[in-house]
Amino acid sequence: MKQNIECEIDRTEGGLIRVLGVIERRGYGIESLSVSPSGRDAYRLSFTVESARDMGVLLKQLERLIDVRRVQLTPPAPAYAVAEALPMPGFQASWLAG
Amino acid sequence: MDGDQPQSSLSKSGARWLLDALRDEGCDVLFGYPGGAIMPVYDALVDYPIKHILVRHEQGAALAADGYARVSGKVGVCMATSGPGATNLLTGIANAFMDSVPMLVITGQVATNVMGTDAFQEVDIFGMSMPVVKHSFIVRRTEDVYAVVREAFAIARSGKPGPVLVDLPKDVTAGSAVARAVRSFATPAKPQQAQLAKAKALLAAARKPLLYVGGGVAMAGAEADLRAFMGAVRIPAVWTLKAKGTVDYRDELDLGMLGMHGTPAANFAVQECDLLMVLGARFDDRATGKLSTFAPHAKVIHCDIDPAEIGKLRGVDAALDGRFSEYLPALSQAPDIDAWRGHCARMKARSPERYDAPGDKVFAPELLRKLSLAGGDGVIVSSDVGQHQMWVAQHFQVSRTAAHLSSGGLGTMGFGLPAAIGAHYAEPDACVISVSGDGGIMMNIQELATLNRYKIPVKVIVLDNSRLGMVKQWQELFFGERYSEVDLSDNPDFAVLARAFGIPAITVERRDQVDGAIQQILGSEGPFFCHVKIDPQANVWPLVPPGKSNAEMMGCDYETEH
Repeated sequence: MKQNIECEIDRTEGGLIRVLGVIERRGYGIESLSVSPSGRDAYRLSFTVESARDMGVLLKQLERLIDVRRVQLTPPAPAYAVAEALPMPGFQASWLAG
Repeated sequence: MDGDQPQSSLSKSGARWLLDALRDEGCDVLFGYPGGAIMPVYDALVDYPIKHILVRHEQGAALAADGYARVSGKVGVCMATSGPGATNLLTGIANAFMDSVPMLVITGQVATNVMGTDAFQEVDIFGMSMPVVKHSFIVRRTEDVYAVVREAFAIARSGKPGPVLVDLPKDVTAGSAVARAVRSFATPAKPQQAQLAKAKALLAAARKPLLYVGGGVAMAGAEADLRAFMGAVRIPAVWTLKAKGTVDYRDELDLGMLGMHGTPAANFAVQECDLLMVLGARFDDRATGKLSTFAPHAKVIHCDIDPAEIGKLRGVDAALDGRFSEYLPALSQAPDIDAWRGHCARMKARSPERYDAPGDKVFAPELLRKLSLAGGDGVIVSSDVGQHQMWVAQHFQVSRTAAHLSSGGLGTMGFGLPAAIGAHYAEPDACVISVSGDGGIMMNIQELATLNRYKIPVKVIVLDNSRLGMVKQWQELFFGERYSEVDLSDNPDFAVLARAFGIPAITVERRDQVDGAIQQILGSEGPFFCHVKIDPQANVWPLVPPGKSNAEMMGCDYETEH
């Protein structure tokens, strides 16, 4: 099962590696990833992960990281994967739907 | 963070800010080993009243800090230099992570201007330890040292506890600055009322409810809350290795440890129950056996401070993620379960412990039971990993969780002796006994020098079957008796070895020597070493084979009523 996840993390040393490490170590594969600044002291991450494991468990495992400010599941990207092609901060696939 | 801020606006060295932070956190002892990159801290330490215990290997420091934390309930602190000093801590860090033990790990690091250049004794301990820490920091500015260390303490002990690593480059501890302010941390949220009502309804409807008690109860300081809850609801309980002592062993509701080497009563009660209330436990595979067959008829109420544990391995019908003391009183209505209680009591009575093994060789379970009875409630026991660890769990009675130290999650051979050293500094008046096998004792044997240096009155017992007993047991049972690399018959003479470290020692070879040896062990004033040659063929029973259901126990001729 594939799922898009978006999270905002503190821009601290090791924060990004810690998030990616938890995703892979807990048995979830990263299919795509984009990183962008969110203000001066944070990053915004959007990634697509694939796993047979429960995505809700991954969310909670990310939430408990000290660097993670918020994390949420986002709707699946359309088949032509615009989200990957246009990794703009704040971009939503639904803008193209109409 | 209690609003605590640095008590001085003066410029001080990073090393002094570190030690100020330890002092302000109430840290009275740290376990460590000096070296190049951490030297500014060791230099400043001379002026501070904090007790430093010099171990003989950094792994001993980390495991001693772990033992200290488990007994005291406070954050254990260990310290080492960069490079090999830091990597030697890793096993101890992982041990604390797997068992959720609050620990502050301080590592020296090469100076910031040479970090990343493969400098002498440079290693990326921050990166290497990342999967086994709750959180970690590299401090790159002296002004941050005090605040980061205070924050590290807060993170280590908050919510689900764990180890926090602080990597301190040498120029940061040697340089001087005014400390910045400390950030505050949020406390965990209260449980949702809807889930509490659901849990209450599940408990009221259950006819065969069972408590599955884990190490999280005592780590939350909720041992008394749990016992009060059990007193009110009178629901039978099973417990995990880490929760040994949490449930009062004198309580008829105590069915014993569940899982691979658990009691038949505990495992069959789990298989039969219609409601499993999980308290501070995480469905570890050694407890559940084959997960898909575990508690097949049960609805589940999962109580854990860590939301990430809820639903990780088993779906739940109600979840409570606040503090036990906040919601257990609200769930304390006694269900009408006389028939189930009677059934559990009969299951327990049908599988009593037996100590009548034939022969005159020392029967380790009997020795351990006798030792715990003779030692009484003032004893703290630690163990390594393997057959003797399971015998301690099965036969050594303790009246509180902090009196039993065992490496549950990581299964670290060599844990017992350093953990016992830490336990002594947490409770100097307790009689601390370390039980090891002949394999595990050799993994941190150097800490006998620490016992001797500080005259730490730990009683070291080595149960010697001249082999790696648990591996041999598995090779015997599951690998067609093809014994591979388990023979340790060329062990040193342990009593002579202990004496070489300056520790009085005896050797016990026959069962009729056991009572006298126990008197000597408990009557000794300082450190003491007892080498016990046990029956080399003895195995741990009962046993749930790996990958099998807990209903398929070997070594018990036990039948359920159903």
